[in-house]
Amino acid sequence: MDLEVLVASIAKVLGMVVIVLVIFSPITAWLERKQAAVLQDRVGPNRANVAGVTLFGLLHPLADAVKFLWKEDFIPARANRMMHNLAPLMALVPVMVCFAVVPFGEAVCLDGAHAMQDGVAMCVGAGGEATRAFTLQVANLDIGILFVFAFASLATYGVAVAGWASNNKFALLGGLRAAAQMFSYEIVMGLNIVGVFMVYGSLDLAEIVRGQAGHGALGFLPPWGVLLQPVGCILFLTSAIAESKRVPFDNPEGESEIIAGYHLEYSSAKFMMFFMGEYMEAILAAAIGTMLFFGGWHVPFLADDDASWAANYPAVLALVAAGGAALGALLLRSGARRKATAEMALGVLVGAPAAAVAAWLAWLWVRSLGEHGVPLGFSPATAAVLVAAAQVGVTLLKMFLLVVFQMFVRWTLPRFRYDQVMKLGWKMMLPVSLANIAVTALVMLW
Amino acid sequence: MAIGTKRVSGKPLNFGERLFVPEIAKGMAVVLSHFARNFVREKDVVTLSYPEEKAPYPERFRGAHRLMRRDDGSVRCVACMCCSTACPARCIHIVAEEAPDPRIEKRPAVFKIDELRCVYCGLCVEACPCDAIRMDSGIHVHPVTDRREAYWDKEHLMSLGGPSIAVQGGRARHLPPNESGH
Repeated sequence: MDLEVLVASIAKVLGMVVIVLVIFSPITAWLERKQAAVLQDRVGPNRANVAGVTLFGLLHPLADAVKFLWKEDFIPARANRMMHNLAPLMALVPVMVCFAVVPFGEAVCLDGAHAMQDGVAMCVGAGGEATRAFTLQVANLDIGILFVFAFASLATYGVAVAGWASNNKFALLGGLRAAAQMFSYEIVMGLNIVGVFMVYGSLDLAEIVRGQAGHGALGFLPPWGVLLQPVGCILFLTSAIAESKRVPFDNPEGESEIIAGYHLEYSSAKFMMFFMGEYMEAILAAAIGTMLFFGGWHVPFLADDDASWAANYPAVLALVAAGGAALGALLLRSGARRKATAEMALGVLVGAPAAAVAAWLAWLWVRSLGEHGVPLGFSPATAAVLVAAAQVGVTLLKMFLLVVFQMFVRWTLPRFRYDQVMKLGWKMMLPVSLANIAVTALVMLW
Repeated sequence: MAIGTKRVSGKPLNFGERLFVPEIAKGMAVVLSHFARNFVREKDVVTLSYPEEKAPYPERFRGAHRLMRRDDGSVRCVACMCCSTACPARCIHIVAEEAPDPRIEKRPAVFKIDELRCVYCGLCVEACPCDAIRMDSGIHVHPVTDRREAYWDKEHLMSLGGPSIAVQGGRARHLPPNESGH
């Protein structure tokens, strides 16, 4: 392994950690509270502020993190200390590791076109020489999604060990429930995406995403997994929610029955690790769902080649900038309601340039439509970086929407009774996923 | 007595309901409609941002006590002990003394209310024949760090009070009307 690859890998790991841990999980924690408040006709978190800037309550996760770190780290007298300390790590680390195989965008080639050679993304220069492309995933594994399943099941140990090591009956019940539930739904989850493998012919997430470009379904629809495998998609989302132990499958926590379940005896940073682990599982479910069923980094109807991306990435970036402008407008509105000048100023500072950039990019794109050329006069290397940024933006947007969807499900449904969870998993979803495989196989043969 | 079991026979689910998915979609439509409505305008949110916004109190809200004054600034209370007799919480403590004005006879030397013992029933106000004690100040009793701070004395209660337009009761017939015009 030469130095360049090592540095690139470290950079990718850091980038992934920043995206998932520093950006996505606080936003998810905030979303859980704020979205719940808005859909229940409440106000929600809005007090934490810096000079009157509350960012819609986005500073609350920050305050929470500080609070968690300052709390006493309590270990029950008769708990198994080592296991009690180890369990949060065992629950959190496997989930983080799973993000290693998630591709956030197509491989980047700074010069030359990119091409696949033996399942490896390469850059082919003008003279025909091939070099390894810079992939936007940490590890490009052939087994891809199986790696995710392998490590996601390891998280079961963390929860079960936490329940056992706490030396508390409620925690033990929670741990047992979590182990049984995660075990049951892993089987369903594994089976119901077999259909996806059959359709796209690969286990590598990047390959599955590449199979979802353009418009192949029924001649005009994008060949996304959600359209080709609708039953698989519903089953996947259901079992993914069950895997991450969130409502309506939060029996392992079951506040009304077993208090807080497996993390009953945890406090301080160790509780935060379980807390984050649960959100990370939700984010992971969103990431895998995006890759398998919602076209990954692809924009609907856009073909999967360098030329069409080079021609159309300004439109995608314009949409991202338009999102920034909308954010600025919302900040302005929120600031005006509370008469917070700083927040209004921030809204203008964010919104006005974003709106200008969005308008400029959109105009460039519309102007270039007829000429079929590259709309911005950037060098191919700069354009490649911008294309990658656009693809990462699309992926993150889809992931965000799937997280939002999980939250909506959470606040719509009541908790299942424990026997209903088991019945749903083994007697309803398992046969349906087997039938899904059979039907997919028959359709593909025919 | 043995505890019996009650059998609840709910309506069995039909096929569409047993599929779950359509019903979940219906539920999510409700949730989404609320979300969209509240996102666009916050009209349905009934929450008040408390320290900044306050709910208007009803007109007959009983807050902290106050002692009303005559036009000359002296206390209207004639130390008749009606309020402390009526008080179910026994939180009013009055020591009477002779008033300099012979038409009034008595006035309180000490008038103390333990705002921690008070149950805010308003019986003292009902009992008062002189419109001297009222609970219409609209003030919550503030939290205290020492119980003695909750013993409100006459000066403090009078500082909250104002002039009353009520005709002072207990006026002696054989004396001329007092200077304040009643």
